[in-house]
Amino acid sequence: MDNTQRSLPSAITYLVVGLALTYTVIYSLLILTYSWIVEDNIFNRLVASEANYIEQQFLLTNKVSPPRAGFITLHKNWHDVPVKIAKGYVINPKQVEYSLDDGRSVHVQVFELGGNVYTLLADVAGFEVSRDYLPNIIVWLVAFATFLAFIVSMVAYLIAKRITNPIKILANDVSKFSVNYIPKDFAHSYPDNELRILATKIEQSFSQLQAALKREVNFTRDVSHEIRTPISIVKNVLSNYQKSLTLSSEEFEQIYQANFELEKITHTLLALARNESSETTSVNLTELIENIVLQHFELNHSEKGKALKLKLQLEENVFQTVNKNLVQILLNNILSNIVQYATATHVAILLSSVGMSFRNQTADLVPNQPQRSGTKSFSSTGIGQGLNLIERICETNGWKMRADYQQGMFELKIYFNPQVTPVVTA
Amino acid sequence: MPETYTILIVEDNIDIAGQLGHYLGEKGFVTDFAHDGKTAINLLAKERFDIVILDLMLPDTNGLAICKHIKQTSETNIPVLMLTARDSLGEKVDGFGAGADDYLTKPFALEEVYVRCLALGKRNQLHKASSISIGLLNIDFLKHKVTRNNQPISLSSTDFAILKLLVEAYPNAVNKRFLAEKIWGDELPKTDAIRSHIYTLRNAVDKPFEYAMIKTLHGIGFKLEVPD
Repeated sequence: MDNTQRSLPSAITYLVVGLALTYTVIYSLLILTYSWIVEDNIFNRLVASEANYIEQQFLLTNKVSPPRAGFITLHKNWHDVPVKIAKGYVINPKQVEYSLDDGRSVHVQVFELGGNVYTLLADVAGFEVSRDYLPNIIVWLVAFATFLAFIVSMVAYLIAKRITNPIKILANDVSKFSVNYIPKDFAHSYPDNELRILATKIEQSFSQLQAALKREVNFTRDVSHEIRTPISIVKNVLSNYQKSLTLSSEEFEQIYQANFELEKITHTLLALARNESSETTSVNLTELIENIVLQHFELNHSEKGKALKLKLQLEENVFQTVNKNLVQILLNNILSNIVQYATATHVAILLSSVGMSFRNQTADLVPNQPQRSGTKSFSSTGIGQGLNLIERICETNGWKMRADYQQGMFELKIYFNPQVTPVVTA
Repeated sequence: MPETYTILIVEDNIDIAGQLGHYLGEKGFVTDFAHDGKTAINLLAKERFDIVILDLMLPDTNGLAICKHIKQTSETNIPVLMLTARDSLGEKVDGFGAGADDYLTKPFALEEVYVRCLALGKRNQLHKASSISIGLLNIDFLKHKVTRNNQPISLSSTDFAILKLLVEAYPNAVNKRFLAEKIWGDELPKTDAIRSHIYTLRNAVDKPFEYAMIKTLHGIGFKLEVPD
């Protein structure tokens, strides 16, 4: 899987080692600085102590005593003092340490004896331990930092690996996904923490992607199957019209039917292709059928619709968890088919807890598989038209559809549970 | 005799606008046209319309903006019928959110546009008028009086309430369930009370006259009907 430029454990290790080394360097510098300060203070106190001794001796003997320590010299006049110190003192009288050009390091103490200014110079170069030991200390510090970096990097790598291992497993698993395959209960194989939240979101995203792709495949397939036929009919009629400049009643009927089919197909396919059609709620089918029957425009306002005698047998409060919009389209399509193609006035609609049934008389021949895509009857077939779209909506809702033709009666049955197909008859 | 209304058709497609204007004109409506949003706003400022038929896809603006403009600026509440090819649930919600009173998706039947305009006009009248007439039936909502052919009709308060609901829904139907919920709320009577009330309502409103106005639809609903 791993084609990343830097893995998470490496990134974490580099970060931790970098921090550890930075702190080591800062701490080492602090230690060195502290040692230099301590050393300087010791020299300053030695020089101050010597100056105090000389002052005490002067008070006792009225004579200027020479310094006791060999590395300290006493100077009465500034011209005895190295020029750098004399100039430096003028600029900054508080400066006590001078590094001379000949390599000497000198600590200075200026004091008065009997009205005269005296300068004590302590050449401490021979006593500076920190300077002698600095190369060694640096070597040791570098060695210690290297050892520390090694230990820290090992520990950091192990911890980082432990922390990031589940993420790497998740990344590995996800990289094996295809748009056609997601392992079952993928998210539940992860510990119940942020990882499961992430895995769940990934699983949901892939599921939505799969559903969208499935809808897209179905949509293009359905458009190819369904829409081209009525378009071809209209095109051919118009082609004939161009030649003859007349439209026979049969041709007019062909255009009318093709337009009717196109209208239904477009509405249904667009609804099936939308993500909103996958959202389900508990729907009271009894109320829904009643409302759609009362609101269906062709059924209640067209001459053919008004002539129909509907017999409704609806069980009270039949609930189904479905997409309401799709069921509305399904019922509207069935009612439109009834109005459009019915040859007899009696239509029965039944609803029970196991399914729905729509039945009407027809004297026409019905094809063997009226729900097959593109199927048309030999003439009109009651509600035996465009059933493949109705079947598609049934599939989306998890229902099963069956179309029967017996003894002049056409019946469309929809079962809510596909496993059981009890008798549902209008 | 159906009502006549003045209708503004806001539609950029000349063929559809022409078909609508021609059909509604034949039905006795007075129509005016706007092929873009700017023209629509200008016409609405100068003329008085009973109903606006509004396409959502206009060349210079969004129909939703026009709908909001109508609802925010007009002194009277002009009903808006949105006529559009956008039929997803979200788009319908946006349409109603902008203040649309009804929503019809393309392709549509011209007759359905006419029926919906009738319903919108009637509903708008209900908000404005204290009384309303459907054919020769007149209902005074304030005085709780009903007349048909100028003959007073005496109704119980429940029968009057049912008739009012049928009038409000005209020319559409209402189902028994809806009537029962509106009249009795959650305390629905055990018996088929709606059926018995419709019986007494018919005796009062239809029986003494030459034709029935209260029609039963498929055994599940009722509507008022006026002969052409």
